[in-house]
Amino acid sequence: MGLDAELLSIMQCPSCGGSLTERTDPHRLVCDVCNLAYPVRDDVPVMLVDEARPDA
Amino acid sequence: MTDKTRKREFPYGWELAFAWCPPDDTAAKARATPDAAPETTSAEDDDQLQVTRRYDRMAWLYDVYDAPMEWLGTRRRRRRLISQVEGDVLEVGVGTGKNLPFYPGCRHLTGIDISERMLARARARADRLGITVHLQVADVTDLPFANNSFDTTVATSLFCSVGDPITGLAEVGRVTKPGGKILLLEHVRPLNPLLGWLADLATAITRRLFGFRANRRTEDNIEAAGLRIDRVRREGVWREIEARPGAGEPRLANKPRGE
Repeated sequence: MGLDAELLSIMQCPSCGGSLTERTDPHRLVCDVCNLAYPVRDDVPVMLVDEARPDA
Repeated sequence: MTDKTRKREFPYGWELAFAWCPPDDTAAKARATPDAAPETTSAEDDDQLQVTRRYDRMAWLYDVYDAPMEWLGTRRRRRRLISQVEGDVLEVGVGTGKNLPFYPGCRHLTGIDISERMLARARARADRLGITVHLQVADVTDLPFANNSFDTTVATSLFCSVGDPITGLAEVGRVTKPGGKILLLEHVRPLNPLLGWLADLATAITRRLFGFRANRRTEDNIEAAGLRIDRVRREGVWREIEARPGAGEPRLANKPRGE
């Protein structure tokens, strides 16, 4: 868990605009609406729809 | 990567000089061969993927090949533009972080770029300079931020490379607060018809070799994206632009002009 809380509060899913929740193992941001998981690699969120997968 | 694949990826001799890619490039490899390869739906997506791959490949040498532009005044222009930022700042197309030294202690700085390898260099530079910047891989035409999130949004030499600049500019307008600033430094298609025509010709090469177009009509695109231009400083083909989000809806139906 390393992302800035203030930044996370203004972030949204680039696919549907839903809010995001940070999860670990693996580190990722999951959309509360469409359940897409965006990987966080070395504390850098990869917010590309092509790189996202439905969260397990 | 087989030799055959490599040959297909580097069809241009000169590009080899800029395109050598270290073998440990897991990020670019993951992108090149995703688990379930997404179908490319349009020429635009394909264009954007090419841009991403090109910048991933060039990241290690980007600052070297960009150096002549720096000596020709780009550095001075970037410094002057960024001295105007206020409040919470987003830089789109932060690249290798060449602008980071110019941010005068802004409260909250976020940088996005489509290339993970460019961002790795930005991270190293920020650490060297002792600057706090939140970096993310993201696409300017699909920004992962809520409406009205930033006081200032900055882009330097970005909209010459983005496949769909009008959508990108409209996204910049969306995430910038009403009354906030949009600061852009861009080179554009020359106004002189002959030079403009030459820029059209040159673009066939620059687009392939470096991923940018020399003939973008960025001022027109800014207005087509529904932004308001407050001030423009013109020097040759360079434009230092201060704009703000428009009140109306962007006219996204317009095609980007100048290719």
